[in-house]
Amino acid sequence: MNIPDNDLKDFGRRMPFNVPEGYFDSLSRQILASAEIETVTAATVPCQRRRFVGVIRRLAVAASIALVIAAVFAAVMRSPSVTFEDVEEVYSLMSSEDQNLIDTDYSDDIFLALTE
Amino acid sequence: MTDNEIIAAMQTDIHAGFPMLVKAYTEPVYWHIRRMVVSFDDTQDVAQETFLRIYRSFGSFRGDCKLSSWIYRIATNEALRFIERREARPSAASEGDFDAVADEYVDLSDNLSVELQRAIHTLPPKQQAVFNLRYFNELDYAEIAEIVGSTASSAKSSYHIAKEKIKEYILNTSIR
Repeated sequence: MNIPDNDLKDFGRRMPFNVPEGYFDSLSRQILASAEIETVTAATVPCQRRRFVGVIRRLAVAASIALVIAAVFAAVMRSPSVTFEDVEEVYSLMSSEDQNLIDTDYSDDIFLALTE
Repeated sequence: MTDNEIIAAMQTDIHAGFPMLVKAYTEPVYWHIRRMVVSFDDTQDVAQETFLRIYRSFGSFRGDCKLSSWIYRIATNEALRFIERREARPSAASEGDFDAVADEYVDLSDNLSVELQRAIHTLPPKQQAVFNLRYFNELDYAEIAEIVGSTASSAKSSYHIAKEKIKEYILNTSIR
């Protein structure tokens, strides 16, 4: 083979590669379709992530319930609903034997003494 | 349609802008990849992957280089990655064996252009990219440097070395 003028430019920019008729239209359509699939896939939360989000949500709900129970318990402890009148009523319903037992056992109780 | 129009459209609504980009760049990107990858089917896969990568990462395009440079850089990297994987296969042809990867979509009867391609494919893949971008795409060295990640002087030097190697190859094969 002769190298024309020993310069590559004389080889020209022709290439031996070819493609079928209408190939680039078809390739463009395939590329756009792939991008469309990519968009749909990206918009869908992957299963792994969704499972993680589910666990987080359940933990949050459990924590909220625990918080409500703790708050109610604390409120009950701070303001007992059992009044002195209730205690008196229960005391009156007791047998004289039980009343004597309580009187004996708690006669020195400072808190009971204060209520009298 | 200009690159600036494509960039503006992509930034406003990527779903409207991307078809514009694909329309403008499918052919040039395809031929750039084809010159390096050669095989018709493989080029199609690499081209699709290139455009998907462009679609996914357009948010990282900061406009500090030309859109075409950015696109060619992604295409070049995808082609180089593909060639590296192909050459790592146990059944891979020896490096630079153009005929081993040429398929029915290569016109082997076109002696002059086939001989030039055989010579180009004796070069390391990255040097092929530099040579092709200068010889076929007629890009300036600064733009080639942006694409292959080097300096303009390095790209110029790489092109001239490549050209000498190609001439030597052609001269040697024509003597035989």
